[in-house]
Amino acid sequence: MQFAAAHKAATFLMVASAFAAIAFSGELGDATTLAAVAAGGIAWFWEPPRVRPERFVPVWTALALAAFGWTVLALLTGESALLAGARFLVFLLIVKLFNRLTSRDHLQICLLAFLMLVAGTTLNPQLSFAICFLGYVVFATWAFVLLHLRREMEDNLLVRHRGDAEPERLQVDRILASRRVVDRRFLAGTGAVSLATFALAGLLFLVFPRIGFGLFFQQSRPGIAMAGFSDGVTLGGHGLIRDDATVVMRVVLSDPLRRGGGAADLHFRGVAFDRYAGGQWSRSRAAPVTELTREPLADGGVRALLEPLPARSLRQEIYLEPIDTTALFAAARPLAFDLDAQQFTRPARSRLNGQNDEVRMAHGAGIRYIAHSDPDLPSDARLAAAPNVADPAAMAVYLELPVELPARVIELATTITAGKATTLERVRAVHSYLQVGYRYTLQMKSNPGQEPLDHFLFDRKAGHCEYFSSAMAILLRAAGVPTRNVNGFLGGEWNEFGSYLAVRSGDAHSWVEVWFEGIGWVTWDPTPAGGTTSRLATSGVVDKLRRALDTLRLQWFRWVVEYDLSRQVSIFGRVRDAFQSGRSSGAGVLSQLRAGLVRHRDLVAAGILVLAIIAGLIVWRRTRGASRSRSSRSAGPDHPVVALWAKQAARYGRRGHPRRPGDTPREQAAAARRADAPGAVEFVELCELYYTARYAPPEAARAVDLPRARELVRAISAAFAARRASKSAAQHTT
Amino acid sequence: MSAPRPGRLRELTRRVRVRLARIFRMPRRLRFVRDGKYFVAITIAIGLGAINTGNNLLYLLLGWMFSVIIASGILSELSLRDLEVTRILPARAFAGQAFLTGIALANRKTRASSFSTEIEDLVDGEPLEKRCYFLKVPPGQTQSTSYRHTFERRGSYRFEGLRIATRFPFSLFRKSRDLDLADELVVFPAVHAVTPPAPSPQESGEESRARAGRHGEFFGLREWREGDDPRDVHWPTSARHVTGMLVVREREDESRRRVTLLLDNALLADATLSDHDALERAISLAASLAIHYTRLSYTLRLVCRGVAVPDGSGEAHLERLLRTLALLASTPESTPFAGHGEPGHGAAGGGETLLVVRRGHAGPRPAGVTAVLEA
Repeated sequence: MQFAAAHKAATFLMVASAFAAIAFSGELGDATTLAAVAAGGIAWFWEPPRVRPERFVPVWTALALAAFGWTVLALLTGESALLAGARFLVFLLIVKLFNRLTSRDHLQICLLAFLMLVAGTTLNPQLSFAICFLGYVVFATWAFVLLHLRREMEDNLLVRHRGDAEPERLQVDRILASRRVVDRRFLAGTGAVSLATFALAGLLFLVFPRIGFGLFFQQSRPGIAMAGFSDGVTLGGHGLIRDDATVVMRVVLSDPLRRGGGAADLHFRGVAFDRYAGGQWSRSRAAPVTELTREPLADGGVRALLEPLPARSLRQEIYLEPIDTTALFAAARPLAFDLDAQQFTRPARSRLNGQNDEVRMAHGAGIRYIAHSDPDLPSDARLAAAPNVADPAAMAVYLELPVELPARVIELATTITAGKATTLERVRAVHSYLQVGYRYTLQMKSNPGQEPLDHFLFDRKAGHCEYFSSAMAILLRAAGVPTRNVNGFLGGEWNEFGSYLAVRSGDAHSWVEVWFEGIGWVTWDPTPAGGTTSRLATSGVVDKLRRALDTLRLQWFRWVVEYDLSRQVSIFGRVRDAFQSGRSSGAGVLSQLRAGLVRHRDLVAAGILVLAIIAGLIVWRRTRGASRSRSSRSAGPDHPVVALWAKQAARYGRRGHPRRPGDTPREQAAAARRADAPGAVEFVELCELYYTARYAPPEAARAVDLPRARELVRAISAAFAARRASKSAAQHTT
Repeated sequence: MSAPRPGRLRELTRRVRVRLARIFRMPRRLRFVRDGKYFVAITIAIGLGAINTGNNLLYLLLGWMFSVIIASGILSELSLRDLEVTRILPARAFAGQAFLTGIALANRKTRASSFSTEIEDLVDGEPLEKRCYFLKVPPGQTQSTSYRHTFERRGSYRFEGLRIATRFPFSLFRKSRDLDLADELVVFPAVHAVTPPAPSPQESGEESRARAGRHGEFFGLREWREGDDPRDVHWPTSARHVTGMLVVREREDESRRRVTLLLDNALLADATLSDHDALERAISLAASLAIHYTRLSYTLRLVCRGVAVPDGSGEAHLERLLRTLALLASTPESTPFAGHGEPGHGAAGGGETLLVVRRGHAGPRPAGVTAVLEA
């Protein structure tokens, strides 16, 4: 590869990687991104001798002033300094790409690209940054090395001395056009070095002590992806509930029994409502504020306790995406939330108390926390023994019925629960009633003017989870049982690659919490089975790939974006333990490895397939390379045309047309033609073929028409034979 | 360099310093270059930013920057390893005149190329300001180049070794290692065109007889010079000569031309700097005269205080004369002219005796001097 071409390609690829690191954040805006990509594409071709960049200096100066003014204006109008700076960086980089003449320009391009990558660390902490960073590391290594060599060339060191003459600079352009400096081995070597630096960077990343001073500002961490969640329930809409596979929450469960299919019935509680009116659920002012007890944690964090933590509980490490609610989710029944100290840097975030046992924390970005829950329902015996509400006035907010509720709804509740003495019996009666006479549908239909619940219970008799939960809650209230409506997520998709539960937008669910006197709030889900099983596809290659990618995202988030001192300490501890128990755990490691292989056999098979393809490609390339080198042996002095020509040149030499010392083959052929030697015209043509075969690049040499050369040789032989025949004929005549 | 340099203590100190530096020298020298300083400054800034903000991606970037520094050290080491350097000094070098020194760099590595290698000579412990640069030396190959240099003063220069350096791969640091490769170059005094004094009447007469001198006894062989008679070419020897240069016969001419260069190298103990410079000019004049008369096939003898070069002619003799002049040191006036006035030399031996003195020198004039030249 030509030096200049390699340097240009490496520089542009490096710039593209750095630019992509901020472009994938989406913060630049589509217009800026597209304009920058287009300008970069034009800049590739904008170089001498096609263009004389120095002629456009005034234009670039004017544009730079305009861009600077625009940046200042953007800052004055309140745009983030980082974003305005990043845009200006993009502009400067484009200017330099259009004006890359000397190594100094290339150095500035490297610096600007690096600054862009720095901006990317804040603007884009997504997985895309990792990919861009890897690209940057590889391409920047090439670009830096080639820039170094170019600068050394341009500086003054390539001089040749001739006697007493002044030192003479070699033509830098000649070296830039040379293919000898950047060959395959060079690219492979520097590529390997770049990957090694990447790996080393990862290692150093893990060992750098994480001591955040936070002197001037704290980093706010955007989440993995943005998703939506409704912090309210409104019945009576029209349309179709969409299945959205966007992951909103990733849950790492401590209980092995809860992994895989065992997590399907976990209700992740988020928001709870006590007031139903006008087809909407909301929180009333009278709803009790969540009572929390705070305990400091050893790592500086805070534990917010809803109830005392029992000896056994389900621990969930939750990565919650930024969604449209401040509620923190946890498997029902939540007991406690462990929150990092960093999350309490702003006073507004320290108020965790919501209502109706909600726990809330304002987080405009993604958040990681630990939740502890008791997912087991009380036994039937306990529930059955629970008395009716002792003090209905104290539970008034959870017994309130909307004034507009048709009387037939209350009558229906009375009918369903007739003869049911205990709370449990009433709950089961309502639950059974809804299971039998109603079906689940995602189609939303309503009758304007009719109370939505009334429409559901008496006319349509089909609805989604919110209808079922609302109906159960209101019917139970009508039967004197305190209830509240809860929104959250049900189950999710088990990710076998990362061993975590990926909860998606489409897993949003609504259910009921029923008050059992002496026990507390108990989760009760009246939605029929069709609505409680996941509606999202989980099998198939595409789904597997999606899950694998999501695992990567989570790992990136866990091990890079959210990597902190506690995780660092834990890693060091594990390494120490591994060293200490290295000898004894050999067999265990093997069995773990075997189990892992069996568990991920699809992945292993795919990996083997990929490796086989790579190996095949390498073998093919080598075979092709070998055949190429064999064919290249037919170029140059070993080309068959060279031998043909040499034989004819010797023949002409013997016949009085020798190649004198200093004569070129072409001069010999021309002399033979001037002397009207037999077959001289063909000899001239053969001579030209010889030049191509002998001195042209291998591709051109291989393209030389060998049959034509043989034809010419035959013609020359024929011409000599004819000349001999005519001479002998003349002798006979005389 | 053993050229006049006041103070033996200083010379001794220098030697000790060079020796100690050689004993205790680090296997590699590492020096920041400008870009490296900027890179380190940016690394520190990124590190501070990472610590302050807790932004882990800045930590990742910081890790990469450290990795680049480490990779730079490893690659530069790879580039410098298994290199062999050969120095080819010129046959003659004169003070004030540029000369070429050839440098051949062989890469003995089997797989890796050496990139961006700089080589500089270490003369008297210090690197010369001229460097040779090799962009890429593939494995198993040798490349050659040369550098041009001028020594302003005559004398013996010790080439102690070579410094091989590289800024590969990122221009962050300049790593170098020193190789021991001792050599010596005697730099002859500066020479220039001279106009010798007109020969004395006696010499003029001899010169007229010298035209028929090619019929004398065989004296020896020497290389061809401009103006030689083609009939004097000794063809058998010329044919065997490796460089293809013609070799001519020299004949003992009874009436050959003979010059004695009498150089007064005396300096008082309290000599000023200008006295030293004047002596240098005198030595330079003597060297120029030696070249002039050698080209005219004169027989030359050099007599100085304390040292003398006996009669002789030809290039080999000129080499001896120039070497003596290159290393000539000043002496007190009490030191006599070595061998002057012996039978067969000077005025008694025929030929001219030219006394070369520094300007302003007012010492006694030795006997037999036919002309005095001041420099």
